[in-house]
Amino acid sequence: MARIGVFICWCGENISRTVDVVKVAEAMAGVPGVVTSVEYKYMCSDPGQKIMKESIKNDALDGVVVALCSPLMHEKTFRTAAEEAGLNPFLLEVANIREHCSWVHENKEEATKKAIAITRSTVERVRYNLQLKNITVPITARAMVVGGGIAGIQAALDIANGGHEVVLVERTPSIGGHMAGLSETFPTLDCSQCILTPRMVEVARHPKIKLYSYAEVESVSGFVGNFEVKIRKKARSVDTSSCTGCGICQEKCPQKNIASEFEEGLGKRKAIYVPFPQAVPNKPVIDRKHCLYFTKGKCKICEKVCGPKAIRYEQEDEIVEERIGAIVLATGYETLPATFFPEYGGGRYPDVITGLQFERLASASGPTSGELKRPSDGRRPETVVFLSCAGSRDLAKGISYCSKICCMYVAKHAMLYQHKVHGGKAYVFYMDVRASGKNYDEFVRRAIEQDKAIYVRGRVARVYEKEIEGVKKLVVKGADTLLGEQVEIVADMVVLASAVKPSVGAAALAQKVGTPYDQHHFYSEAHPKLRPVESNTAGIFLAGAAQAPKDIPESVADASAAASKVQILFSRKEMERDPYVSMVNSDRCFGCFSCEAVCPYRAISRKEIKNRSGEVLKVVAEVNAGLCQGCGGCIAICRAKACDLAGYTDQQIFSAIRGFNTTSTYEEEVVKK
Amino acid sequence: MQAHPHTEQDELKVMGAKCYQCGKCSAGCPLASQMELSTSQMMRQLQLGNYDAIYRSNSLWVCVACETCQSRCPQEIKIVEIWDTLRNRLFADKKLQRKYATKGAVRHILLAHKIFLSNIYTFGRIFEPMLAAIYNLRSGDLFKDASKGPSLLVKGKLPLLPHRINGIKEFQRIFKNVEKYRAQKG
Repeated sequence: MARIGVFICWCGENISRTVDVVKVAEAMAGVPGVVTSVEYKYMCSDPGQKIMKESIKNDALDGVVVALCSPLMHEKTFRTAAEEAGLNPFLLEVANIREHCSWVHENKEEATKKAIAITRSTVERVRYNLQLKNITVPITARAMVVGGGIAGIQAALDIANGGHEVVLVERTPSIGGHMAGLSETFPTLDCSQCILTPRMVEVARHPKIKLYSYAEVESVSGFVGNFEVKIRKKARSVDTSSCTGCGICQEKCPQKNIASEFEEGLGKRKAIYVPFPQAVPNKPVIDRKHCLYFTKGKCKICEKVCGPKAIRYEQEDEIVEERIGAIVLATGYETLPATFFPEYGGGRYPDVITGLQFERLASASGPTSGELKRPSDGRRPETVVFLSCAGSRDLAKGISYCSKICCMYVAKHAMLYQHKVHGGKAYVFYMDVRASGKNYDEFVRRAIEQDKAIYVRGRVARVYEKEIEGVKKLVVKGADTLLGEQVEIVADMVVLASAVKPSVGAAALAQKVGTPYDQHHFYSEAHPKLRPVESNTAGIFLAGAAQAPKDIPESVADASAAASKVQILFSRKEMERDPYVSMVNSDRCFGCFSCEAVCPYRAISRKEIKNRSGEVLKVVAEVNAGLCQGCGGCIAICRAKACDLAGYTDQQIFSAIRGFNTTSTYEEEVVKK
Repeated sequence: MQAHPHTEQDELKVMGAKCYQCGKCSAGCPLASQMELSTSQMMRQLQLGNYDAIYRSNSLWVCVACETCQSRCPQEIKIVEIWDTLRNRLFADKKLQRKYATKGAVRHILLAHKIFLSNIYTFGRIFEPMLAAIYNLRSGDLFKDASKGPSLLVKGKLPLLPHRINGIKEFQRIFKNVEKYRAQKG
């Protein structure tokens, strides 16, 4: 027979106003197996807890029900107290009679009945509570950061400076990300590269950071603290250890008309190339799709001119394995290409460009050395039209969200344009100006007041080409909704502030890592307010624009936050977790492995059951407690009813349900048992 | 200044609620220069349930239903459907017609609409001389576009005798069914 104690709280007036607490205590006292049932004004106070602790010792309780507020508030308090009194904390359950009862009802009689039912149900549940133990998992204090943009760089540096080893994986030949390509940054107009490159160099030199550039995550297995990651080092065709980065190969390569990714297609590069002069690592890569040797079988000029003989045509992709304790996903963003906007002539008219392309045009290191020229004929644009919300907040284009950064960079573009082309006219078509950030609105006002950008409220319907006096111009048809009139502007260049979306492959990576993402493929955070840099998978953290559109300061703040979360995890050798994980009854399991198929955390593995002579009798499912998040998917799918969730067993749940329907004086089923 | 009226929710207002006033519809409208209220302003009036302002403006009648606005609307609002419903409401309601459609362009547009449909009802297709004659008689502008008659005749663009389509009875039944359906709906 169970020895259960019930402790009921008044919560001042919060519960006692609508629930007759004394009556609940009396009702519980009559339940078979309940040894003591008391109420107290404030159970959570020290004297209240003391009552419970003493009762646990004196009455030799083996189950406790505390009827009070939500378990989110005080479950931990009372479980800790129970443990102090020598009771396994998981033998204590909270019956929520405040949020679920007293606060939402007015009729005292009915509310008291309900409070009795809730408490009774919890008593029935506690009868079958098991003595559980928190799970301890060892931790490998080594982090992997995926993505070498500003968020990834910051996260890697912060973790490394905290004294832990970091593996930084970047898909392109150099770290730096989009920030390396920006001209100047809002709201201070400081040069983007000047503030970024010192960080890049720091990454390269940091003894705790292992940089894999031109590499991708191949697979991830394991669980928090114990990931096993395979990384594919793509064939660079250059031996980075002997290459000195002199650049002669790049100079002599005859394949020179390849659109440069770094220049957003506005500049050219060779087939063997370093994406930009400050690249880290400053070692070239052979682009095998365009290299004459790889396409036609001859050339090999780079090999001939290379002093240290670092060219390796025969190099193949290499898979390296790393043991990792925590992963930071900082895979960043990309913007919609101009070709996404046929109504604006994107792709048809070379002078319709995206914001990122404008950055390269305005950048001193860009294809025009910072001089603003039209991509089509190299003329100075006398009139430029900036279209904000190109694709953003556009259900018809499948993007319902605001891209957040565009309002600010459009203002910056209008400013930079005015600084570079004196007397030029900058028009900005906008729907709303969302400049919420420190010194942000002031920045937009500056663009309007000092740099004379003309802001027109309305969305542009169409852009078409028209030849005026032998020059091809772009006619922008928009509306000024404040005047209620149509506006037509003859422009030299149109810049689309095209929508931000996650990088290509973000979803595929999320699937490899086993972490959720939303309908736009942005990674999902564990809680939108309170856990913004953690994913729902333990040990996976998020930083930067991979989670949602973010500007540089936010990405950096995110990265540092994620780094701090990683270091919290690494501050212990082992970590403790709730024991609410699935368990498999191997007698019942017949090895259909439906559970393996549905488990989103890949926590199910296969176990062979052998007899004494080592023959395999059957193969059954086994739960890796470190990986299992207790979602219950396996329990629902298991047709043999072999899976059960510790702390929420079928027996506990059914008993609790039965508890709602029994009167408090007669308990046939339980007495029989 | 007139306060924003708070009228009851109806089907059209629900459709219009998605509009966030970006103005892309007004920007692309080929007839915007002729409209008293631009498309987005009409949507705003609709959101406020200000049907008086909607019917007072000429925009409903200038619109040729080319659907440029609708195809570009980022919020995928069925703008032309809304306007069709607004026009139908007026057409079905004598009271509204007396209030808004007794003078000016609206009267002519409604007149042309009715005569056009009755012409179609009679012949199954348009018989231009009759259409022009009746319209000029009823609008009071007897010689409107009369000077264009001879050259159209010479080019064979104006038939002298009407042509009835085959199966005119079945065709007219469609009209009657529509009338019946309208009567049922009230």
